[in-house]
Amino acid sequence: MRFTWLLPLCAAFAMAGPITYDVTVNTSSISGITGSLDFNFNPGPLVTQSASLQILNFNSDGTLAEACPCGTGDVSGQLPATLTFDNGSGFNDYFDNFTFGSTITFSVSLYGPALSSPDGVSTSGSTFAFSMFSDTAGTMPVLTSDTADGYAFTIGVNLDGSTTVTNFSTETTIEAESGVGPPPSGSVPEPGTFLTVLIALVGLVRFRGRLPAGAR
Amino acid sequence: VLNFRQRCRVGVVSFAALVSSCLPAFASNSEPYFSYMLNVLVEGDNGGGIAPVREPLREPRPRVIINQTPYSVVQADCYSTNGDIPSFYIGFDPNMYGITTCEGASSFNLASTLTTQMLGGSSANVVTGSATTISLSMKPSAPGPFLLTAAIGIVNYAQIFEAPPGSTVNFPFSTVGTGNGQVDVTASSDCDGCFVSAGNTGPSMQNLNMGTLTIGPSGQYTITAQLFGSAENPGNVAPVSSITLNFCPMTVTLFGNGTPTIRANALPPASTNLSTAATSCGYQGFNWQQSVTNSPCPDTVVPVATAALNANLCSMVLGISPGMAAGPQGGDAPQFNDPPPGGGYTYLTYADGSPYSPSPYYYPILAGTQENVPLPLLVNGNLVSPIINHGNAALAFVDTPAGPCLPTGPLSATTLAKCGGHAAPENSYMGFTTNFVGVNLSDGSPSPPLFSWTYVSNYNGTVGGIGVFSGFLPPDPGSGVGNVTITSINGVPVPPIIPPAQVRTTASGLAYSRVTKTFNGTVTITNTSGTTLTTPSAFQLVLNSLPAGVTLSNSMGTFNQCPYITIPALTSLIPGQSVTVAVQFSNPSDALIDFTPEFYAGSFQ
Repeated sequence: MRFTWLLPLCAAFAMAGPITYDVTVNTSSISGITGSLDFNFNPGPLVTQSASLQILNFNSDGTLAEACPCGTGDVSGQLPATLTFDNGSGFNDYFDNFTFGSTITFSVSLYGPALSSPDGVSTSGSTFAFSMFSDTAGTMPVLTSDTADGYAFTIGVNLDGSTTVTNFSTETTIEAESGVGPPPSGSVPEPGTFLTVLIALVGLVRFRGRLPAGAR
Repeated sequence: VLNFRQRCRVGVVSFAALVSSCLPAFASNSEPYFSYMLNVLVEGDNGGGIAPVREPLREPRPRVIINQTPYSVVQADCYSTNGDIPSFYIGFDPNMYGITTCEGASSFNLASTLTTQMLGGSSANVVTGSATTISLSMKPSAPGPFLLTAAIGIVNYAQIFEAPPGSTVNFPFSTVGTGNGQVDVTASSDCDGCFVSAGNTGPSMQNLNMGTLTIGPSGQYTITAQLFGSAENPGNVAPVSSITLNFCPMTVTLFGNGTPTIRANALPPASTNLSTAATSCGYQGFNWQQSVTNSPCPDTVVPVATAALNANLCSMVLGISPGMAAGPQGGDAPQFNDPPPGGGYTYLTYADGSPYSPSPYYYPILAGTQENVPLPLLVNGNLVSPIINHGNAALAFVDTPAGPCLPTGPLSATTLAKCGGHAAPENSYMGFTTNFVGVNLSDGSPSPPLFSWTYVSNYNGTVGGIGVFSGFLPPDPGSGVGNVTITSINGVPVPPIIPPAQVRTTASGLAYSRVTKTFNGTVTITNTSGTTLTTPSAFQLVLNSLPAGVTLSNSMGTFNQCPYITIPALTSLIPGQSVTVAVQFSNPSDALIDFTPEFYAGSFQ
């Protein structure tokens, strides 16, 4: 019994990622303004491990512009449906005109090798940024204290697979979903995940096999 | 009352009176400025000549007639990237002729025929200006056998550049002319004696050597050039006058500082190539030269021509064998060419076994002029085929000097035996001076250095299993420790680089800002060595090898053609300590951004 702590440790390591954040933005102060939304997810300037990101469950009483495609780089999908980004090219961006209502909600799910199995040799992370603008050209940021760059919030994927959220918007709440969820729909679990679980389980069984009978 | 020829001279003098030789105090790195003026005159009852006018006639561009009398017509214009007339213009004052703005262009190529209203004297002219050349061509035609028609032209160029204060710069130019022409070129900076010039008159092709300019404390210098040409028809001066001045703006960037291998790349200006640039410079091509300036004894390198290099043999200088000596750590033996004349080194031959002896160059002349042709060599029996001229677009240099007798790290018994039983003194190193040069057309001799740097190496591993000076192979893995350290570039000291093995550089992802149109993130440098890293002033992060089109928006300057960021308020970094700096990239083509980080302990001058 005294070694049972190994099991959740191995499982948590093996099943790291995806990491999902639920985002809620109170846009009532700019309700009725036709502006724009920007989502981008880009690698760093050195060696970057593969990572992906989805914008899920986008919901708002505002109105998305109909004119699209809005994606640049490795982006697929169209709001309000799911957007899928990866960090394979230098600029992966989704930009859409939007007439603000009173609220916007969506989820940001990050997954891929950089989160589930950091390789220890990559030297750059990846960063997701969300911005809102009061103009359709995307030059006048709103609901953010970051007037220099205009980000409402950013999520950095760190080299150890963890994430760092930086929120510049008092109207925005970002909450990590509790627990570790399954991979997003359509994604393929990393082979390394299975391998790690298998190794952990085999190791645990072999270890327990060596224990004296009284300790089992 | 002046006669026709006297009036021409007066006009020319007035054109040439405003030649800038001083650097304006407020000057900054500028775009090029060009201007030209063409005057055609036909001898008539009222004479010709050039005169400023109170109410200038300015025709719609591109035919820019600024003054017209019955027997004379004057065309002039100026060009600058933003359309402004800069304060450092040379030649005529555009405002004198009603020109208040320039064409918004950084180059021009204009053909025109000017014809006088009376008598119909004319001249067919071509004027050009670009980053590599300015030229003037005039061909006057007389309306009759006894009516003299003359053409006079001027083309001016001026530009301000930046270079580290105290550095030295050489300017190669060449001129090609027919008929009656004159070229004057100057370069100046803001210090006493920091002025060089050269000129050329008459036909034929000539190289202009202005000598070396030292850059003053402003870190800026101005180059001005002026072409003057004249022709008459009929007359005793050649009826066609053309004069061209070719610039030679080559760029050299160094790579590998802090590693065992140093590389350099020489690039011609954009939209041209090496051979065109060489022609512009008046050379048959470009090459590299290297001298060994410091070599402690012993080392394992042996020259072929031992008798001719007695002054550099360790055995002769210090009574130690084997090896070659140079510099203060080599018994004050003189520096020597790398490879040395008379057959080079015993370890290095062409693939057919013949001696590799390109002295006074580092590579054979043909390797520098023939594009994409491998240079097959044997380094201690190991075949290597470096390409020096890459697609006529870049000229490469590479060296991995290896001194296995240097005590940078532990020496094995085998190595010690090759070193005659003992290591070189503590803290010893190899020292080099390397130049980028032109190969003169006439005799293949090297030009004055167009770019120069010095470096040392304490790498004590091997290359191809041996110690070398000219090292064309990569270092043998695990064979030793140490690295190259660049000590100066064009005469300006370079602060010491912290070898990449002592720091780990990581970066965040890059978030795009639609406000600033930049990709923003951070770079973190961590001291992974076991000792505290210190600097007398500040640490500098240099971003070498950024992709084309990508620039660092928050750069604090450039070093070695690369942007850098000064890390504020930090003079030491203890083991394990990190420092993070913000980076902001402009990346109009949305390219994947990559760079080679270099971390320096000291300020750039």
